[in-house]
Amino acid sequence: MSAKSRRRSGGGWVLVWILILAMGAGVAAGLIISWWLWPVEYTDVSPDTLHPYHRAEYIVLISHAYAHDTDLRRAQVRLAALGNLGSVGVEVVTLAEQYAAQGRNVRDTQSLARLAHALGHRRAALAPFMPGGAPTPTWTPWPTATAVPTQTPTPTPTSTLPPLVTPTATVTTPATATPTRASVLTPTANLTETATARGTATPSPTLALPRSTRVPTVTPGPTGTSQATATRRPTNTPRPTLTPTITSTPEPRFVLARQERRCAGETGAGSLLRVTVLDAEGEPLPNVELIIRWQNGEDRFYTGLKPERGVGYADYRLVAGQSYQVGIVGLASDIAQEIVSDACFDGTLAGWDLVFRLRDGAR
Amino acid sequence: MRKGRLWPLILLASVALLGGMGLGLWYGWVLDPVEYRDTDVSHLASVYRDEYVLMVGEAFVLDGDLDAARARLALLDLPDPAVQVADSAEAALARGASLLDVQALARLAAALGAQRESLRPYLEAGDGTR
Repeated sequence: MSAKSRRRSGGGWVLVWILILAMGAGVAAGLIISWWLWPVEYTDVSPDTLHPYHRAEYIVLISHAYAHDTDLRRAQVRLAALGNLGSVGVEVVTLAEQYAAQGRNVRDTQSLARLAHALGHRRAALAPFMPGGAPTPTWTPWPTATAVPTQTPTPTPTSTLPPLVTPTATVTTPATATPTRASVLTPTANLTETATARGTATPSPTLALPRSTRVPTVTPGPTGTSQATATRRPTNTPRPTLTPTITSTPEPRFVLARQERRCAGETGAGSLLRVTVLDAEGEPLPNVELIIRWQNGEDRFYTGLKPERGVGYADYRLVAGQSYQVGIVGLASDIAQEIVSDACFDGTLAGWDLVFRLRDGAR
Repeated sequence: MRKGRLWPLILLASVALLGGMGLGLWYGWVLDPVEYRDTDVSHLASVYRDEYVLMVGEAFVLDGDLDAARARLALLDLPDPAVQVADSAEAALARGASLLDVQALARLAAALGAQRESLRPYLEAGDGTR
């Protein structure tokens, strides 16, 4: 090979390398520009891209809106913007249970529970947060003329708890938009909204809020991170008390499934009122507030304080000769009446067993 | 002669550079663009922002918690939340939205300090709650 031809072949390789390097540099420059300097900016996102904190807040708002207008169809349309309606429904009830367990804002929990219930998700832990469907229980008026008791008993509750009060601290959560690489989505049609009028009958939900339209825009902007800090003011979570509302539709109610007098000779428990509270499936319900009334007073006690006897169990020490009435606070409930700790055949004092069972509106 | 032979080289390199840049831009903008996750409500599309404002109004009517309503509206990064809510109320009125919706927005706007004559009847039409 002549020197000239060697020079030609060597120069050819140099040219190739130069082209490769130039193209590589160009690709790198293009990626830097498109991913860092001027990335695609999404300004019209849909709720399914929200940070989990904001997503939870969005769900809470939907539940409040539903509690306000009771428009389930519209609530479903709004939830559909967050993703598959079935899985978002589970998310609603999970969020409700989480709020209930953490003692979060009662009204938030109530709204979430109500929405979850409307979506068909029933949970025992949420039963106390469901709105009452009937007026407050009717108590038997105490007789005006009664025999003067030989002694004035002082009720001694076996177990009571202070109200479930959990202060909610200020929550500050940064929401950081994190740019990540993902497959591009085919741009869809423009966003449209179909408002479902209340009261119209349609066979199935119309999910009329499609996902976001990703349209690349050449917009010089920041590097693609944004931060938002959402703060909530501290709230003291009061004891859950529900305002009963009158409604003609059947609502969940605790029925008195069993009221049984028990003599100590049988159980050895003496003069003890034993209460079991069950949900619609027969599962024990913890944290249910019970009220017990007698002529000169009343007291409250809760299920679940003796888990070794069952999370739906509560008991109360009865006083001899006193007549009691027992019901459940916060929900429509039957009243157990004429609970009297009188003498058994063996001279011991009689105790009582009560079982309350939740009957939901569908049954 | 050597100098004359450099120009084609430079030209080719420039074409390669530009071609590579175009390839990179196409990949970064079209094939695999940056996708935002964990966005906040201020990035929502206008239709969802309007829904959000309405729901804040409904929540306010439900619990009367103005501080919570303000905190929720603050997430939208609105320059003037009161005006925005009042505008939303008037827009709802114009498109024939339900009375509950208009009342919720009107009451929230009024609570935030935005007084509009067009919304006054909806403040007096009942508390709008169920």
